[in-house]
Amino acid sequence: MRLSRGEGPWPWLAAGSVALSLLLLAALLTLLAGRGLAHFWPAEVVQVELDDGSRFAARPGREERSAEGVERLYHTGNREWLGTPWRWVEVARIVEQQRPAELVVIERRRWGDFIGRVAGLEEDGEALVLEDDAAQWAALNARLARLEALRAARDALRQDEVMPRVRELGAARDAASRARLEGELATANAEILALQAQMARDRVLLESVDGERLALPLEDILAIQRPNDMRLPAKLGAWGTGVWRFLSEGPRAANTAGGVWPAIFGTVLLVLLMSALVAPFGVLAAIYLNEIAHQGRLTRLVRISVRNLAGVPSIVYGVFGLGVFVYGIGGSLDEWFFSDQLPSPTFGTGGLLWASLTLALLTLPVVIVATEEGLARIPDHQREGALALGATRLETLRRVVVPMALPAMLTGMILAVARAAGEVAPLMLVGVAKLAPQVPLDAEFPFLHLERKFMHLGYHIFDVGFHSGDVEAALPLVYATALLLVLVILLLNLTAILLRHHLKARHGALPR
Amino acid sequence: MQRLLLLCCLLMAWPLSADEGIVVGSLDSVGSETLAGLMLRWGERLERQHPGVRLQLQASGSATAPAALAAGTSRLGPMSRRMSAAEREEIVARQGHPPLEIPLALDALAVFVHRHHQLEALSLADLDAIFSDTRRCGAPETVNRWEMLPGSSQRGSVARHGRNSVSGTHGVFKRQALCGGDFRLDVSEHTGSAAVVAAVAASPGAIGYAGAGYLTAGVRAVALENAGGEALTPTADNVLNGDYPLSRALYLYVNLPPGERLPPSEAAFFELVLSDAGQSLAEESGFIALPESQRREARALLGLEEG
Amino acid sequence: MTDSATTSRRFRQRLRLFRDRLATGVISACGIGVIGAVLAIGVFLAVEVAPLFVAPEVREQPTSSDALPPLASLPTDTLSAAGEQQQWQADGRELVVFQRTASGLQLSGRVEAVPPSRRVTALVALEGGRALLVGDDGGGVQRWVTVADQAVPAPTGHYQTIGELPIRQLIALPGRQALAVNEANRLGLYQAIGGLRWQGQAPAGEALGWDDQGHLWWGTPDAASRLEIDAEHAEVSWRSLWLPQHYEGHAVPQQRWQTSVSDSQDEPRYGLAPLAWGTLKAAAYALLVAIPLALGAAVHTACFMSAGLRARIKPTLELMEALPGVVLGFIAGLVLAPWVERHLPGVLALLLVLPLGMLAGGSLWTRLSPRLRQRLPLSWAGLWLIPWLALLAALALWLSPSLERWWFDGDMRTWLEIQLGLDYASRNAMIVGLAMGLAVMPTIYALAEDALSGVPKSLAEGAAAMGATRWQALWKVVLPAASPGVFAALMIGAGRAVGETMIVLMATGNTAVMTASPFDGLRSLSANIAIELPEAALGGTHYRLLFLSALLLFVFTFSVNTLAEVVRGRLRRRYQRLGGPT
Repeated sequence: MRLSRGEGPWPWLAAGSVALSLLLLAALLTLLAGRGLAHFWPAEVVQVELDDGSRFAARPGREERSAEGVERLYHTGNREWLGTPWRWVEVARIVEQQRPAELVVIERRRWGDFIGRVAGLEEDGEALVLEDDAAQWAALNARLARLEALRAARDALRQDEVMPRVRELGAARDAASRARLEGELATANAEILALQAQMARDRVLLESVDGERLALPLEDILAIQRPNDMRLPAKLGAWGTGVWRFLSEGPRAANTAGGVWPAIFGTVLLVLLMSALVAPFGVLAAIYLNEIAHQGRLTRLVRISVRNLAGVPSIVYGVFGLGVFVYGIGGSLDEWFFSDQLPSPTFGTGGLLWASLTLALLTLPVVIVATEEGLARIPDHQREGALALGATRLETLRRVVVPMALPAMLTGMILAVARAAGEVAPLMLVGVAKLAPQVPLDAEFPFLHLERKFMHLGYHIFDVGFHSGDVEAALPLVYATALLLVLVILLLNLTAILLRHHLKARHGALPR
Repeated sequence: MQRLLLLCCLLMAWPLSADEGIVVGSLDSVGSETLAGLMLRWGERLERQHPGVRLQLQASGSATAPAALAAGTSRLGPMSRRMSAAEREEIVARQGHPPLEIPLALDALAVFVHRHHQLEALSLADLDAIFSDTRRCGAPETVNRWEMLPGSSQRGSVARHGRNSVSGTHGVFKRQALCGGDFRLDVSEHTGSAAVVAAVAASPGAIGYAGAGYLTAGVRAVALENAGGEALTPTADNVLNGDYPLSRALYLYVNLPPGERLPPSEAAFFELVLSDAGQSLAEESGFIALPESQRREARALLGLEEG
Repeated sequence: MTDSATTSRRFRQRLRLFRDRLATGVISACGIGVIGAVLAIGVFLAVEVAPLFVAPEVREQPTSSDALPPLASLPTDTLSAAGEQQQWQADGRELVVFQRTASGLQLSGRVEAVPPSRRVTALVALEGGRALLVGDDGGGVQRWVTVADQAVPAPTGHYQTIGELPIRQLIALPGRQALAVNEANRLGLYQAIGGLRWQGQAPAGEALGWDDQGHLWWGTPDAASRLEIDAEHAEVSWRSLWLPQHYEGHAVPQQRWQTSVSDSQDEPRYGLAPLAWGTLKAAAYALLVAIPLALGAAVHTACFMSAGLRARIKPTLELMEALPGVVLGFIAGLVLAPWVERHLPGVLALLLVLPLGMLAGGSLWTRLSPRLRQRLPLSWAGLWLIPWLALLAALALWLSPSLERWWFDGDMRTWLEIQLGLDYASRNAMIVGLAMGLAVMPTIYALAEDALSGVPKSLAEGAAAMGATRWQALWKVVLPAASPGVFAALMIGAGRAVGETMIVLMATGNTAVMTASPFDGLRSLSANIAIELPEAALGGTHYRLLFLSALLLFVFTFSVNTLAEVVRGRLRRRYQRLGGPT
């Protein structure tokens, strides 16, 4: 009787494994999404009074339970006075908590965040007289807008006037044009200096809740908020701005703040280059193996070997890339073509080209195997039909075989891209950099700089998480970066799965 | 005030670029991980002043700097320790001349414990007993539990954290605190100082060494006893007057053949580094600014005009 | 007109054929080239590693010019040597040891250095001054190393000798090597760790001194020659890599991987055994987590799950494979490790509670009313068990602090340490096992599921017809049929676990210890390469040893995968015979 009803304990363990795996996956993604996205939310600032009468204003963080009781981590900012922008406080010591609307959080160019009050405004060193808090806040925002305009003008000047001339100057050989360019540069510089002098006009007087005062040039302000005074739409807006700035800006303050734009760009460019390298060669090799090579013992051996190379650890490819590409080929290239720049290496050090070649090698087996699977699925009578109609082998390949195997090739490419986008270990050996603010693609000849080092999302996670000056501050950024990377890779994989599904559905219908 | 300093710096830098041609170029730096944050900050500042200059940084450990200088893969090599004679010889053999040694800032190595840790002060011999299994500084026995330290109210086993063997921090600690002896095998080797601090902050019985600038709220720097028996914390004053036992200068090695001038981009970089604004960036990164006299010497060595 | 049309057609035909041949040629060339390049990886690694195992050699370089270069002379006193902190003097068969102190030399002890019938005939301090070689009148050469808290050096094993004749002189060379000369002018090249690496006959005469290039000159002032000593990697041998070695500063032989590139005074310790151990240990713990999860999930999806759900769950679980190692490593190192350290009893409780909870879920289910049972069928258990398990996990974590107070006196770590002798390192093998298990699980799952669901349905149906339950059919029929595929899945999973770099790098303390405890750290070959290769000097011993690590990883994963591939090929053919899908 029991047999017909239950199957004993084992099926439940098996079912539990599925449930547990899904639970872990969900927990992981929730953790990444929760922490990564919450970082940009303008959380409220609390003014805390302790039992010894001292006060501070901060954003509350996580809590820890220990033998001493419950402690809470506060982000207090104001690093120049406190030494560290974080503070652990025993919850039992807190006497009072308030949320005054006028508390500001200022993201500064230096020393991290400021949390406190705005005490006044200065223009050219003279204090402005403003009737109330609202007027002061309005004036501050107006001045920040003016500064933004000035900054935009200066950056445009730099971008459009200075940089092209600097490049021309680098290429100019005769004295006359050099003199002309230098003259023009001097004018442009003078304009920039004038703009910067105007930008330095205003200062804001700040006061922390424990009474320290500071005069901050407006130019050092990156963002200013009064989170306790914000309503939901305003908070959502601020959150969106935060996300956008994270995606579009470069890193600041030794990678502990700012965005990841160069890393996104580097990752994408690397993967594109890798695809451009791996696609033709992988497909050609697969066609050779499946369609042209004599299907003997040797071919079978080669096929198994190629398949197995997909399981070789990525770090081994990195070692190969370092030894062969960087030191071997790169070193020789430098000796032959860039000897005038030696001892500074051009290609003899890690860079974009070598990294993409290494990744291409790493993903070749993936592409070959996937393409071969697609080719093997095509029934032989399709080929025979084409040949019987008088087509040559090339024509059979071009008109019949390759079009039918196209989805498989695409699947292989996407799987390769997904694998490459997440690989970090080999890149550490062949050219990823902690900071390379100039993206390797610009208006400077030859536009794509294959020898340059580049930033990478995966390496950025490792670097910011383990090497930055302030782990607490870096952690949310790491979460956000990790979320971004996971999303990109999941998207690519989903595409591959859908494609494969489509492919199977199509070829399942083919008569054998 | 800082704004003013920055302006001074700008005003000083632009004319320099005007008479030597505009400052363009790429600075390649390979070396210390400890100095990476500071180099990044200087790089950011430099790029704001000179849009044509870019800094490319690779930072995986001080030992990479001499290797890269010798191979010529970079012209700047930041190191968190002094170059050894063997490394210098290697560079002379490959490049034909020794690199210039420019001090950048001072740094104290701090020994961190969890913020709830009971320990107040340690002697260097205690450190040797905790971290080393050859105990060349003369400690009688290895300390495996906190109770084994005299007068310690902390209990439990010791978890040790440190940097990996290619870092200058590892080398300095090995020479100064372990008298050149071996680290125990169970000292965790982290690839970055931040990871050391994070690991210590997460476990109440842990101890780890890293640059003093990596102090966070979760950890506390233990006072160290110097030769005179005073227990000192790694403050700027204690380091500047030489009392704190574990301190070091941070260096930048430049591949500059004797008699040649610095290329304008490098000159601009050193102008920034040795200026007040540059040194205040060093303080922001958790280091200790160089005293004025050392800065003047460095400028003379580099052939920069007095600014 | 027809003629010209024929010609043109013929011409076109030829062109077509020519193009066909050309294309075939190009494709073949590309294909062979690409495959060759990929296969060249192993060859290249082997070529880079080979110099490590080239036997050292000392060659006599005849010089044409008669004039000797200016030479720095060798120390004349062969019976005393000065080390870093000690000074040694030979006295009969004894070694007299002096300690260098602030006030000068101080006698610190005497020790019998050679067997009773012999006496010491030569002494030399090795590079770094923390070890010395002692030669005796019976041809024996032995290394003694200083140990910090001992007054006299400790002897290490005896080296192979170069003959029975007395050692006349020992000449220290860079790289902790020394040249021994005996009375018959026979030369032996000794390396501190490697032992005797070369022996041969010296030219007539004696050692004259060093020139400014660092070469040793030999002979008589009239006929001198330069000795070329080719022993760059003399400390490396299979023995030195895999067996315990007696290193400076230690009283007993040890397995160590400690490269200190910062200072040439430090003796490098190149023992690969701790790294290989760490690699296998990490893989073993990862598999310990991954195998039950993956096989359980594969069995459930292949045999119990409803087809509609399976089409969604399987891709989802396979998607986990795409989670980048760096993300898992970051979570493991910076989030999981501190969390587990604070909630150790809770985590260990979870390991117990979750499987028990699954079983409890099952037994509760059999007691449910049939209507409810129909709404929560076993084929959907993969989904509806999730909230149940989440609830149990939360409960376990919530209760564990109280449990810790009752059972482990409030501190489980102390309890572990005292009762079981287990020290807890925060970045340990258990953390790696959890994180890497999650990374390896999807690989094993996907392959095992394919193998299980590929078993022809007729087999299971036959078993069911004989009255077996689904589980019995699975256990007795399907699983044996699919076992080669499952085995292949495990092998490929093991290959992946062995080579994973970022997770091990970020989630362990990278401590090169050789213990089996789940609460100790480890250092794997792959993480070691990632940490040290960018810093290793091109072409040096360290560099080549890291290449050797890569070669080991390559050979291991390649052979494991080949094994798996062969097994899978057999399985596919067996299914074809059984009439299943091809």
